[in-house]
Amino acid sequence: MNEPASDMPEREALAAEYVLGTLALPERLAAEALVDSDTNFARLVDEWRDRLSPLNAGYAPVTPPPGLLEAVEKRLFPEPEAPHRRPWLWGVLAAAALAALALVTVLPTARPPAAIVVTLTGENQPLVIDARFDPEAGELTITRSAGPAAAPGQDHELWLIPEGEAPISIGLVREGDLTIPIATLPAGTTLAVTLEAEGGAPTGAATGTPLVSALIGGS
Amino acid sequence: MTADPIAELLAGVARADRECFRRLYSETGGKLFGVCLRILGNRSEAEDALKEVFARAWQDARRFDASKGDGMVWLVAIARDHAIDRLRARPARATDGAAPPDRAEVLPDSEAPAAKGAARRLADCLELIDPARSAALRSAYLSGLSTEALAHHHDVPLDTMRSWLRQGLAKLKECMEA
Repeated sequence: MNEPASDMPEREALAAEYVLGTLALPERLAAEALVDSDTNFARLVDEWRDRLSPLNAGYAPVTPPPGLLEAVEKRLFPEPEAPHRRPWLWGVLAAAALAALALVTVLPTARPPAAIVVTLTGENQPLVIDARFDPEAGELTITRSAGPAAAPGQDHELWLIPEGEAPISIGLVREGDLTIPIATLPAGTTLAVTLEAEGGAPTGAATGTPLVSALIGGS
Repeated sequence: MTADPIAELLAGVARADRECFRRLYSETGGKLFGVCLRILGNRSEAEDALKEVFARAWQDARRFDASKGDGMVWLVAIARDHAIDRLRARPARATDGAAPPDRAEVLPDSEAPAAKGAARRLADCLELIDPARSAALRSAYLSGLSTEALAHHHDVPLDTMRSWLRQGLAKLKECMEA
């Protein structure tokens, strides 16, 4: 320590070195935490970002590879394909989704709050299932409106798939209406029906591919 | 602030306007890829970093305040921060693989006319500093190398490099505020 360390207070030197980018990992992490917790420190960092920003001109632009934007969009906006990561549904929905989901309608039939009405359909699939969610009553009502019932020894099982999560079994679609008490049905949730052994998938996880599905859209 | 087209696109992104997001990418993707590539020195890692940078831009755009700063400066800061975080997270010896600092790094005229005054002033102030030290400052900023890696590349002791950088920063601030 022959030379004076700095003309700046320690805090400001930390902010300056953080922006310069020379801090070792532990100090860097400490600085990042300070940016979030200390508004004075955050202001010092902003000042240094502005002060050194003319150096940005030294970064030569390089054309990114084609398809990179699409990869980012796919990550940020997964809804048009599949709102979850289960392989069995992902593949099926990716293939059949557009045709099926194009038929989905969200009709506000009462307000406030509006009921959500969707139709579960599938490609080349005679089965059609109507779903109506009444937020006031907290009830989801499911009706098979077209197509055959499941064959003897089998059942149509209904799954609720919250965005980005695994399917949850919420009932068996047989004759007549199925009414399920649920509090909310957020946009991005998928409803799907699979063909399972009588009584539903034994493990609680779907074994069949979805026959019909619908994605809950925004209101 | 006078017209800042990048800030306008960021305002659109903050409203979840995907078209603005695409335009933001086409306007700034090359520059930000250049940042990631310069710091990480590796194309495939730079591509991953760029994806993350744009995901953050989408998520954080509402935190950008056009009254306080320039849109491009904000985006470059996201890119530098993320790329440097990745660089630092590499195993210790891997810093050798990063792009070596360029002693002859020039400070070209800035692309944004509004930034020219500040660029000129920074360039003038850097010239007042000892050439080896101002070169260290420039290459530190552009490459994202740690003080330790810079000391190694410039072949000086760690404490010497640390005091070069700190004194350089202090002088720069003093000069720019004068």
